[in-house]
Amino acid sequence: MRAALLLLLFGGCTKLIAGTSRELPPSLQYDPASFAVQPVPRLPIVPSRLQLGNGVEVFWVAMPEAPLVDVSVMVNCGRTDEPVGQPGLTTLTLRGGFFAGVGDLSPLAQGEGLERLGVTPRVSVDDGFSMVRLSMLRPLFEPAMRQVSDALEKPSFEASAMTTLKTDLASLIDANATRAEVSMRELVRRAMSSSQSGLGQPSSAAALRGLELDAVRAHARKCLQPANLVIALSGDLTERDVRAALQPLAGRVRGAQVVHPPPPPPPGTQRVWLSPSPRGSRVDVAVVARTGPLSAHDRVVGRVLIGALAGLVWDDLRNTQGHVYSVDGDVESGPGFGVVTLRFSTRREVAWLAVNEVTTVLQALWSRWPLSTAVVDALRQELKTNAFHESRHAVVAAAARGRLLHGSTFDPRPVVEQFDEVSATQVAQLFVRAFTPGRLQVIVTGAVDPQQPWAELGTVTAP
Amino acid sequence: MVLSLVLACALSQMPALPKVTVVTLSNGMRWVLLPRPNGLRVSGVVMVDSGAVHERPGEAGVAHFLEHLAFGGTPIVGTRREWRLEAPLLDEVLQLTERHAAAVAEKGARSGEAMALETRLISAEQAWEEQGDFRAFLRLYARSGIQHNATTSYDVTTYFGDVPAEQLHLWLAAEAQRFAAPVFRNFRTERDVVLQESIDRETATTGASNALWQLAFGGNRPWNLTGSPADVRSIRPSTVDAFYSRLSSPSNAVGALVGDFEVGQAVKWLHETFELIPARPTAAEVDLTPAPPGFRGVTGTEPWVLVGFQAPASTEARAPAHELAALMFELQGGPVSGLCVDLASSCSDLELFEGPGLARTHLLGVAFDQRGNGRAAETLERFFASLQRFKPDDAMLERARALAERRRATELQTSAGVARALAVDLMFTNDWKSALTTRYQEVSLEAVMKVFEDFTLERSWVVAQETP
Repeated sequence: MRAALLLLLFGGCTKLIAGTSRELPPSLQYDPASFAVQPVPRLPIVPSRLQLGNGVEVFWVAMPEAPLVDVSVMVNCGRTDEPVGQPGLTTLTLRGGFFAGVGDLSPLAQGEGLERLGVTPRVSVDDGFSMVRLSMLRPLFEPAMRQVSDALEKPSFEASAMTTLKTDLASLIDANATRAEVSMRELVRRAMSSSQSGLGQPSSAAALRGLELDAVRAHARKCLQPANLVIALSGDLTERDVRAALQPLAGRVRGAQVVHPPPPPPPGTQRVWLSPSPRGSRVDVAVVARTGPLSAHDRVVGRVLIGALAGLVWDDLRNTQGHVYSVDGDVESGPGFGVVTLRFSTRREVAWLAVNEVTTVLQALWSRWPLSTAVVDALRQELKTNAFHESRHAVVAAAARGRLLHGSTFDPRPVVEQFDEVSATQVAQLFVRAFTPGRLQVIVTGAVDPQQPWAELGTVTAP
Repeated sequence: MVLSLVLACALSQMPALPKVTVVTLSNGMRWVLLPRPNGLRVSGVVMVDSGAVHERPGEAGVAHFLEHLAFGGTPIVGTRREWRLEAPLLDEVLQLTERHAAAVAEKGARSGEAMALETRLISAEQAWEEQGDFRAFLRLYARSGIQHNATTSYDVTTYFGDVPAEQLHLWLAAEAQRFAAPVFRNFRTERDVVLQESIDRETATTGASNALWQLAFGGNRPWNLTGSPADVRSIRPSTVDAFYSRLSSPSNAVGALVGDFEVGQAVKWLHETFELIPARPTAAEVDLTPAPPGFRGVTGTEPWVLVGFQAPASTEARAPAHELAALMFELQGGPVSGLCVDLASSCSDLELFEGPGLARTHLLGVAFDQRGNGRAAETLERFFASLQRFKPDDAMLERARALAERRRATELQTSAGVARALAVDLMFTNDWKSALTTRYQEVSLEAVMKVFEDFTLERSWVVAQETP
């Protein structure tokens, strides 16, 4: 009887489900952690740096055996440099260089040339700079760079091709107007400044269609001078390869550097920007803070700060609201200003509670910053580990961007070395500089419920 | 002309095939190893022949969900004290999760039974948390500087690791243990995460796209990568467990290592880890016999029209011609763009749809967004007319080849990309060489024209129209 009972009990245990019944074979019953070994000190990726005859700086990293060469051309012109009423001018100018004819080549011939090389230039425009990114098979590096050089030096901006480009870009603006992700980026820009500036003016299909060719030509003359370019390269390259491929660019006269206009005044009051989408249940939130100019070192400090804030917000929301899908952020600098953004995603039902919680926590932190040196040390270590996983092109492009944005204060050392100089005090100081209570801009997109009491968190703007 | 010569010359200068080692373990699992300079890192891939096409009725979304559960730990990693103390508590949680899901399905989330079970579940979870920790496995990786990721496609589930070279033994040991005995500690948390993914996907063209796959290949499979939100809500622990048990055998999986390691050492570690996973029967190959083509209306939430053409598996000799045909149509741009402007709010180019897309049958497809204009039939008529008018030539073929070569090179730019490509080819063709070479240069214009001729024949296409 007793044996039968034991058998019954044992039989009940064998009905364990979903993995709890699985047994590891004895040979696999080791602790994987016991195989951990002392980490080997990493030599960070250090981009090589050279200067062409006309002063254009080139950062590059060798990648033996890589089949492609990745190229990023950084241009010292961004949204801040677009005159009021002409949003999209930089995008149109750069795309026009690659797609609207060059020198004696018609737009069609130029396009076919790029297609034969398998090259598709991608243009992105940021606040204080813009970038053309392209890649090509290693053996096609030289001919591809000749095309890049031509696009920067002698764009012809053929009228009908420019009209087509404007139509395409305007359609894109219209199509993207309803997409939450784009709205978020767009709203961050609008939130950061008054609309009476290049930086804050919204993308507009109508304004883009109205851009005159003369304005594009003038913008190209200003922005595409060699003095405004920094190049980042990664691939199976030597210095000799780099110099040979960039010979056409090296032959151009350096020209003048762009002088950026002063930044527009920062927002004076706390606002909530709502952009509801009818679908799904996820809500994406960005809490955005404007700062004064940020140095190269500030941006490194900022990465530690974002890591710290993300950890605090994650733990806090998990403990209070239960639902948080992700937390991250970034620190960006433009000419004369900086932007610190903390982002998180949560669920529709608890979105207001979560935003309220986060803004309250930020306010509390402003009065009493809690991070000890030990915590900052741990964060620095984590960031250094993460930096180890960055791609080589990401490292070299970041160096080129840093050079463009910070000029002579640019720190050429690898970022993992710069992390060692970040102190807990610097992190606290940057937080206090950025997250001034009463001035935060809270952007909420996705499945927002407009009925929740958003007005309690700031003046509501629903674009 | 000069450019063409440069291109031809460039492509002929592509590097020779590197030295690759293939290892077959005694339990049937195969590994492909390629040492390559990678900054003291190794890119590792474990790929299981287990994806959405392997789901049976009632299992929609399970393959993807299993991938999410795979990082909840093992009987060793994730137990705070001893597994024998944790297992009964976790089992109680999973039994209650099972019963709660059944109660919700039968009587609703607000029913007395469901709410009572929810209360018991929360209490059981609190008791289990004293003994178990579902974040331990990922913490082990983070502490060791290992970055991980995973994806589920129609065909396969792939687990990636970006591993510091000195922690390769640890990664192999942890992955082998996870493969042999994953413990679903994170069931409810991950169901939330997967549910959100499913909701997000619903806003895309997935409704019509799933229907298109069903039309093309029939069968009673769900053809849904994440499952619908309703599917995800109803997934139970036992369903995932059954799916895991059916498909996660070593002989149904391959692995790849690319980066800074010494081959002899890596082989030794594979013998000490993955080879110790007991062999189990291999799941039967899925049947993807094409269904009869045709046109069918599908009720859904998005007003899309999708046209699909059955295309050969990427391992077949005629596959490159199909790929280049699609690229040529894309490069030429005219017909589809024109239709977009005239008759649809937006549309895709003719492209290879993500489908059972690694090596089994593909679909070439184009999607038209007919938002509210009621002109779907006209769109289709003009689309097929544009296909008939389309006349490919040598220059277009050359451009398509350049683009295809570059896209392939992009996939192989990183060690992670090489590892994935090697694993795919090892799994589906048992020939890693095809991962690192292309066959586009062998495709003739005649072969491409034949593809277009086939496209215009009604027997080769299927259409799915989704109307709200």
